[in-house]
Amino acid sequence: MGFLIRRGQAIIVRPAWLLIGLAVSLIILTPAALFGVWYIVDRMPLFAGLCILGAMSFRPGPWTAQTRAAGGVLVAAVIVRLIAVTASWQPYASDYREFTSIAQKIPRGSLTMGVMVGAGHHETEVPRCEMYAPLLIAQHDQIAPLFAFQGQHPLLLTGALKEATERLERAERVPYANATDYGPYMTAAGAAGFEYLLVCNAHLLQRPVPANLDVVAQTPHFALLRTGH
Amino acid sequence: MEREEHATPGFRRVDVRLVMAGLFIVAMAPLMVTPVLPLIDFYDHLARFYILAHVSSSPLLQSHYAAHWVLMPDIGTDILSTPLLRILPPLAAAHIIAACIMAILYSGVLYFHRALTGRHSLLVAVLLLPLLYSYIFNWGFANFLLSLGFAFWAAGWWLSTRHRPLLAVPVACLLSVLVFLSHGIAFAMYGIITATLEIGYFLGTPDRKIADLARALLRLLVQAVIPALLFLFWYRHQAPANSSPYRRIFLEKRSPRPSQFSGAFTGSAPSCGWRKGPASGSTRRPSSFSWRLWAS
Repeated sequence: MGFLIRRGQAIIVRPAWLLIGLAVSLIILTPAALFGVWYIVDRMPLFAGLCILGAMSFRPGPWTAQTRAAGGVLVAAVIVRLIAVTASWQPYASDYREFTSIAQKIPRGSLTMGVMVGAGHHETEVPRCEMYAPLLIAQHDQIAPLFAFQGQHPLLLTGALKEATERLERAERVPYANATDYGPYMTAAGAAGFEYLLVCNAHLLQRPVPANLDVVAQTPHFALLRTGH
Repeated sequence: MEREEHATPGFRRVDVRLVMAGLFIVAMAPLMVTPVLPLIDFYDHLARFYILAHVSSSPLLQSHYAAHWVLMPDIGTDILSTPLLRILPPLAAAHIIAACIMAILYSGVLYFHRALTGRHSLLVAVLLLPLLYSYIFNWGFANFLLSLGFAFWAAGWWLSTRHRPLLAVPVACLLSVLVFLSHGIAFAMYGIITATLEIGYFLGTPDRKIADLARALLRLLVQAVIPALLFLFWYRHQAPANSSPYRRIFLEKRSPRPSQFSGAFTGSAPSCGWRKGPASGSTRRPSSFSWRLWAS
């Protein structure tokens, strides 16, 4: 793109120069969090990219061989990118089949907590797990915590779910990313009132499941634990 | 490419739009290969839509969840998606919601581009496609992306009609409310886009008068009145989120509060602090920009 701009084939329309300058500056200047919203700065590259494309104009007139080649490279990069996304998403189809097979073993209406081993390693090869615990609610009639923050979402937790979540809050922190031992959290979740734990990326657990939890079912990537509560 | 750039008259322009639509459909290929999309926060939102759609008819859900509809700057997808979950299975609804969010963003930027440059460009449409699968989309920030799409639509509308303020301002005011209710940060971005472009137009005018700029900015300011009142109402009556144990577990207990304003104006991101690792008590900032994830 820089080549096309340098050759004068692509331009940023003049009224948008200030917008582009500010949008790019915001990538550097924006704080990580603002008014309680996190990840503000992470959104700025996308905003800047969209503004740049929105303000991009290609000069009338014939394209030279070099600018055509540059344009071709850009289009090829787009194609490669889309193929890469498709290829990287495809394995989740088999993960989902595993999840479905194991989720069906949970009795309807159980208080269930998702345990995501390696969560936070989203920039690595650690498979994403965040989708499955919410799907227990939407697909399998289970009860689980989710984004339901007063003043932010039009939903509140109540009853036994709220109580269990509060007890867990008092007892244990959520293991994150580099955690090596998920045992204390799983034990605390059981003691707090959660009846089942759906462990995602179970193959990445570095320590055995605590003895007070029963392994009800296991697949290559998931484990279903009963807490005995 | 250059000839397509000048596909202005009549049927040719229609062709370009159809091609743009076709490109978008092709770019939906990743959504077709898996029943569950690996979007980090997205299914938490989906589960909420599901509960909101069914809580009134399900004693099981009623015993653990309660709908609490209030005006707040983060409910765009809740309003639009909850009815969808009443008629569609969750996984199909998830795919449709994700595709719709991307479609609104894609078309919004293209509309904005057309309004700003006066031309359609297939190359811009092509280059836009990978940005649909951005880092932010991978996080599943549904409200923000929907709102950002609305923001570009609103900015395109403003650029197209700003010379007819009697038409432009009332419609833009409605669009501003739509953007704000979908996500507050995107509303700020809408303000940045329109204000800087007004200044850009002003600076490009040979016989510029400061009164013209003031008038233009005033018209933008008018658009912020209702969102500002909504924000103040929400801030005074509904903002604190400390009563949610889930938040305390997953966000507050593990995350240093970024400022005294924390929790006052929250989008989809803070809700997810518990999963977005670096927010969890680390000394690092909540989430440093990751080129690897951007490329994933």
